[in-house]
Amino acid sequence: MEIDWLTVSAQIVNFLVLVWLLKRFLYKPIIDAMDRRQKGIADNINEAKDRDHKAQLTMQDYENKIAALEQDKTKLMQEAEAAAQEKRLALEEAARKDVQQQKELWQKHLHQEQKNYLDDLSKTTVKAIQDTGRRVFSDLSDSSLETQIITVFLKRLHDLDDDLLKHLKASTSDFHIVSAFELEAPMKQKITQAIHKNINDSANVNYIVSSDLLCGISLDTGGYQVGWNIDEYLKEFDQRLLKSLNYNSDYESKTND
Amino acid sequence: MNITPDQSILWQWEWLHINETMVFTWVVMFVLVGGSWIITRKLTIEAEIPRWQNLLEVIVTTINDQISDASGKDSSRYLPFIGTLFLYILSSNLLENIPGFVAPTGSLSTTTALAISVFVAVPLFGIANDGIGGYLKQYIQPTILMMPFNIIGELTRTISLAVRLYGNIMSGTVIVGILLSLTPFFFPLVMQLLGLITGTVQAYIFAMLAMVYIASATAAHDKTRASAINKTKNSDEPNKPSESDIKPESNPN
Repeated sequence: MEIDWLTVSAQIVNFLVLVWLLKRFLYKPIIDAMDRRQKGIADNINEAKDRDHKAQLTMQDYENKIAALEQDKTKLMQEAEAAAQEKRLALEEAARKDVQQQKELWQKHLHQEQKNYLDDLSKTTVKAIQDTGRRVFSDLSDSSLETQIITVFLKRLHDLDDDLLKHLKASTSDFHIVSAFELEAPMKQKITQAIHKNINDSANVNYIVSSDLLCGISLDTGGYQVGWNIDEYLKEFDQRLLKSLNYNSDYESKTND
Repeated sequence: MNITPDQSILWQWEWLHINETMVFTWVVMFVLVGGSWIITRKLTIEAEIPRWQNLLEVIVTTINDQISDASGKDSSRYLPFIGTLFLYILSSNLLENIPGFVAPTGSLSTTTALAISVFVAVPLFGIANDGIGGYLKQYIQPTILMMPFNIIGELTRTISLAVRLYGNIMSGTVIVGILLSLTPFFFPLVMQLLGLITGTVQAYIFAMLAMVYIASATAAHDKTRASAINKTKNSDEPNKPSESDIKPESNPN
């Protein structure tokens, strides 16, 4: 066991050279590479944290937006429901009015038809009564229907109540004799004499033929009237007929107004 | 049979000669440096790294961790010295199993050279860490009477480093040589397998002892400095026990 000091010296040099070479080619490159990789990993982690933070912020932002949209949606839905409800009420009201108008129109037409029917019926009835009256009067007596009407009219001129007679006497207007039929001259003379005798002997008497009277004769002066008309009987006939048709007398008066 | 490769002279000119120890040391150096150069010239810092780079990283990281565990200090300063000790001894011991290769560590000259390197490195690191005064102060610890013993301790531990490694490796080589002549088939193989373990353990022991010596050279001053600081604190707070009172043997680092 001996020590070769030359070898010892050479080995010390060899060892120091090896230290330097390994430091140059092994430790430093490896440690640098690990440090760089560690730094890269740390950078990546920091970057990931930043991204995560940004993502959190973005997510929070979107969640806020979604919440705002949800609120807007609820508000819009409420508004839309309110508008729809209002529209529905308006449409219902319009439909109700429309139905009411249709109903009123229909009732108006119905009443008009009833009225027309009654008018036609009145005319037909008057015609039938006239014809029947003429035949009755011609069969039972020598006078005609017109003669009998004038007779009744003359009787009424003779039996005037005092109040009406007073007003008629005070009238300064012409006396208009309106008849549904043409009067013959003897009849006119008889009526004029009756007026002069019972009311005013200086009255100026005019004769007018009007189909409005249907069947009758009347004296008009100064807003007063005396006469006879089959219309008085027809009105009673109408009332009875309307009653049978369940006619609403209120509506009749309303439509008349 | 040559007990040491120093005796195998390959070239000589007057007193200058080249023996097997030097040549096989160069072989080991070539293997270590060449391998490192080939692998580290194409290093990557990507997530996926080549397996050879991974191997080197594992080796360097393991040595680093061992140094940190032994010294409790920043390992980067000691890594080239301790790491090279370990890798050189380990490579020499393992390559011994290649027929024809003679481990340089089986030479007392080599182990002496390594032990002298440690012997020189210990005060150098200590002085670099504490300054020359701080380093020399540890020789008179705990009292100046201990200075001769401290110096003897320095010398003997250096000699023990050299002889331990030389004895283990040389004996392994000699035993294998003897067994080859007696029972040439089975026992030499077992001894060589044992030599793998012994060589690795010896490399580890040598490197770690070197680190412990260096660490003790620097830690002694750190301990002195820590106790001085504690004494200053205790003078401010007389009732508070010092850290050195509680843990007299604890490492301040």
